[in-house]
Amino acid sequence: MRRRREQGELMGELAELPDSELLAADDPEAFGVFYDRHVLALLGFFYRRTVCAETAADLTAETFAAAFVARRRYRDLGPPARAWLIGIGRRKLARSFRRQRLDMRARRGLGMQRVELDDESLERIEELVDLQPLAEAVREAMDGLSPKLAAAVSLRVGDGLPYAEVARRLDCSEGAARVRVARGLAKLENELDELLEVVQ
Amino acid sequence: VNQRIPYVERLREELVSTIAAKQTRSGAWNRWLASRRWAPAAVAGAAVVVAAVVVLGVVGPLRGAPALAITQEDEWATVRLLDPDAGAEAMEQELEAAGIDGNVEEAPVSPSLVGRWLAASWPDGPPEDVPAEVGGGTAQGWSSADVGGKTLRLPVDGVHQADGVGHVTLWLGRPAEPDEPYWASGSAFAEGEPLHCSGVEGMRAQEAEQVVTRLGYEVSWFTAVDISDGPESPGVETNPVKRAPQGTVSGAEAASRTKVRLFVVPDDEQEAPWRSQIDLLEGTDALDVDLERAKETGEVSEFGPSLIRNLVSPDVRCDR
Repeated sequence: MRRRREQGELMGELAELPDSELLAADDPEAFGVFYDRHVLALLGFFYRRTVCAETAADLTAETFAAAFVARRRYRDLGPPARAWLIGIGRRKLARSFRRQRLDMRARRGLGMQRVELDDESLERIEELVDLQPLAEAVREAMDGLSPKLAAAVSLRVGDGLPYAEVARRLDCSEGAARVRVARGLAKLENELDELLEVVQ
Repeated sequence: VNQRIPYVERLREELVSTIAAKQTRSGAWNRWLASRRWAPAAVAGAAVVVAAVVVLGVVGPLRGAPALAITQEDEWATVRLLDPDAGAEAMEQELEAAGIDGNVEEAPVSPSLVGRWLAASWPDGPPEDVPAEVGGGTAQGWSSADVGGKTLRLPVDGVHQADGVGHVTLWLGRPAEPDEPYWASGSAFAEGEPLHCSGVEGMRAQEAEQVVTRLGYEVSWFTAVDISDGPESPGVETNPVKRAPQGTVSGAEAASRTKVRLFVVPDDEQEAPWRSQIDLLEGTDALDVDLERAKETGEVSEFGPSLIRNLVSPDVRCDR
């Protein structure tokens, strides 16, 4: 009973601390409080970008593990800790997309087990985010592309066609098709990032 | 709110307990180090290591030689390839151990670029302070860093782990499969490349077509027109054409193991590109001496673009 009360008092004290002090403290519970503050925002961030609760959950776990490993590199000089955390998450997401598989390096390094996602949690994560504004944002961003870029992105990403086929349908070289898709995606990424910030 | 999502709760427990266990382990390790009970074990361990080195030194090389030599000084990280065949995974582990947040991607290339760095790229483009020696031209987040070299020099701010900026991808050349298009190619006239010592460079396009076809390659044609706008902005515009144009072959690159691209300076453009490229070269210290010598011997006017390419890439020269 006394121990529980002491623990409650400690949690209360930790809850008062700013993020920078939670990250600087070598206390697992302090990091737990930091986690509590940002976990839903990070889950939402990943779910909006992946539209997959399981991927969002995995990336959230990986990002917190990486944040713990890198916590001493956080400097309270301006950007809030959430921006720093999301910066890490953004790179984890990009890496996972590039490699076509989820990054698990930080969890492996820390010795963390993978936490399975149950059906109830899956539903709750999906409820965190209203995807309607995102669908509109994607449509808006696609409308902003030139017809050539939009067609290339649509054939490659939407229909999943190989570059040779994209090139054939667009009557251009394979290299040109690659360039168009890359430019289109880069533009979409910029546009969507701005739109997603607004949605967020 | 978190309690409404069981996964979030379980993840918190796993995270906090893993951190606590890790700290307990490192605390126990520190206490053990402080107790000095490690001394006898260290002496015994050192004896075993010495014995192993002596034995392996006689029997064969030590296993696990590093794939990369990574050094960090001031604001720069240098990544030198020691063993290009070690594989991307091994290289990534060494990058991670050096505190560099990076991955290695292998891309199919023409023979002279196999086992060489092709580029460094950042998902959002390179950090602002990437200087020209790492790669000036950037597009789609690419930096043309030291193409064809064994050493990459990268700004430290752009490679550190988890600093919100730094994930860098290092691109390494690998041999291509039979029908795989090359992502990057060296000059087709360089040693190991398909047209080395073929005599095609400087040939009339129609004559070159016969030679290259006889060698078993499929040709695609490009015109190469000088669009330099003074020494500050050199450039050559290449455009695909369906048939061999009237002109002289000024460059070539392999597109795959069976296909070659030939670049032709059209007859009406002949003088300008050669002349302006020579003018550009005169502005660079490294080439001044050779150029002066070449002018004295009269080779410049005689050999035109071949000479220029040889000055820029001496390995292109055919010694046969």
